[in-house]
Amino acid sequence: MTSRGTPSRFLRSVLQNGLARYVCQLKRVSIIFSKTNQGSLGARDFVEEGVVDYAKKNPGTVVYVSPQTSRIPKIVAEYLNGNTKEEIITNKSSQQISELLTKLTNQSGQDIIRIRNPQHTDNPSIQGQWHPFTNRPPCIGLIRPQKRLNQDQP
Amino acid sequence: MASGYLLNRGALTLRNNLQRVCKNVVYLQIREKKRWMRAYTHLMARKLKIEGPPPPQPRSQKLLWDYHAEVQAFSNRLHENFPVEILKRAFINPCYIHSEQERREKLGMDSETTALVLKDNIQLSEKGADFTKSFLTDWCRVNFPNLPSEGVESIVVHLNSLEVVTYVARNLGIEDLTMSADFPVPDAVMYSTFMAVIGVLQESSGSERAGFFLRDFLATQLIGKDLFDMWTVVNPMGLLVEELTNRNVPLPEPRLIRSAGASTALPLFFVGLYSDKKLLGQGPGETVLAAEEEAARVTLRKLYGYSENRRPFDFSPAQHLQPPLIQSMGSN
Amino acid sequence: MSNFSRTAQQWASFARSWFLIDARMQPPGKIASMCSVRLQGKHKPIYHAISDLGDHVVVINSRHIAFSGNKWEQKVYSSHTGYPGGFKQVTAAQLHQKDPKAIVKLAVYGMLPKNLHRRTMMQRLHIFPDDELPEDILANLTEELQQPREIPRKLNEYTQEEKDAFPRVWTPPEDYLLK
Repeated sequence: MTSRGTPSRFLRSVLQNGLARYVCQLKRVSIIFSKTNQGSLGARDFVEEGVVDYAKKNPGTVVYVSPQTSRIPKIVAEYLNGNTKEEIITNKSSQQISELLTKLTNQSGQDIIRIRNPQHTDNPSIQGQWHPFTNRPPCIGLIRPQKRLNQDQP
Repeated sequence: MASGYLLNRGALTLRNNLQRVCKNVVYLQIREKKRWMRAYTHLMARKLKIEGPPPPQPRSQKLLWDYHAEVQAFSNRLHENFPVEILKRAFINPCYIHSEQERREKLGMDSETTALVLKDNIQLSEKGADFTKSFLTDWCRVNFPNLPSEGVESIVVHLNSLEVVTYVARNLGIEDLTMSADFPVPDAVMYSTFMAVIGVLQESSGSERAGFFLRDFLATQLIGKDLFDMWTVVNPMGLLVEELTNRNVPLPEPRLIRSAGASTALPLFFVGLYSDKKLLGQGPGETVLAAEEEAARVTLRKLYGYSENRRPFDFSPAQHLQPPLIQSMGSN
Repeated sequence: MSNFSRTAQQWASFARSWFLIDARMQPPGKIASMCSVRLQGKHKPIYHAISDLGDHVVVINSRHIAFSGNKWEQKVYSSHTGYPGGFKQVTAAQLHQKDPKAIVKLAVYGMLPKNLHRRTMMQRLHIFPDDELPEDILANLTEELQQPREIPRKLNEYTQEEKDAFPRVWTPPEDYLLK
């Protein structure tokens, strides 16, 4: 598929976030893991070591820790704009999970798809956008071939 | 009807399979291709097609939900000091109380035991709505000193409209916390809930803090908006003439100053408005009349100070107000 | 500062201009390079290869173009009809005799990019052998472009004072007879 056929969006933030005050867009994060499963070892370590620190550091995010039997361990992140993102953390170490959680915290929650233009501005031009008559004096009357005018004069 | 029929058929298929399994002497797990699976998935797909997807469920009815923690996180996230008990009241809409009462009565219990001790957010909402309107009017007056009162009013109406306020409220995560009779939460309920939150903020932290909240979340929606998108002016030339008469400036004379491809299907005309031989403004258009109207709009934008190269709005954080982030971290 | 509404701004930015070029006593190549740039829209700051931004160009006096050197006799325009023995070669003078618009047209056509837009852009080129323009084209014009070459003046266009003031290497004696 060509890049033009892929879904795309323009660069923008949720509610002009960061312009006035920064609001952490991650509203809720659930860490789902198994108490016995081998793949959840890192997740269990993280719940023991890092999750309290994380919750203290991010008071604006609700952290749910949920042991469930025979489940693939995963992190479900819910964002203010209503989007939900799931990350599988099978066989990930505590350190890796912590990094993943930091990444999820810093994201805006918008779809991660092709961004059509890597820059955006709300004030496209201070001078005014270009048009064919930019920096040209107003002309009086219609344009006529000059040669003929000169020939008419004598 | 159709789905009932389908379900019956589904039950029949399952029963057949069970019989097939039960014919064996003992129940064994058979590792084979599950040939009954195809019929079942096909049935479910048809059921989905006929009935449509299941109705959306509010987040509070799903797993992993702690209302108290959510409300507290809401307060911390926005860097505000909401008193949690009053904030919880702001989320309770009268329609929720009504529907909850009805639900309890249907269960057939005494009216005394089922009595709800919830207070709704009507008062808070009214208070918040009043404050929002007055604050936005003041803010617009300060930021656009040259704009007439009609223009200020239309900007305030735009910012205060159901569309803008619900958009902001949904992107602040208020929808999850709102107690409403139906889901998805109707726009009017979202609006009153947002206003109730403003009301709580004004009650607890004072008008200044609530003003900053409105400035940060509602007034930022003004960015990238054109004045005449919000303010419908049918006859800009008439308005311009009126304005110039008030300012004792000679009346504008429209002049065609430039044109391109005048006899083609895509012509462009530039009309300039001159007053006392000075160019007030120029505007392009597809016809001369459209260009003249555009020129009048350009001139009005210049007069009212709503030009594209105006000074950007000041959204710098309030210096003297202590950010409550650190306090809340300590209290946790 | 423009302050236009968005629709008006869009209409203005992407409107097509009409340029007028007087080809009297001008080299066809210079005229063609000016035309080619404007037909493609490459003179605009908003140029982009995939947006259709070309302007219209009106060339007048194409009958009075000037080739330098001995190009009128030695420049050869070749074509092939596709039939055996159909290779045609004509000199510039012969071609110009037959069609006074052909030389400018071929020069511009050769300078445009060789893609599917070439014919479309050629349709926006209007060539007139003389300086007579129809009214509908006259109404469209936005700007006249400066000629690339200054036209040399003929001897009979100089006034007597200018002729007298011209510096001379050698002053002929009174009784010098001109051949």
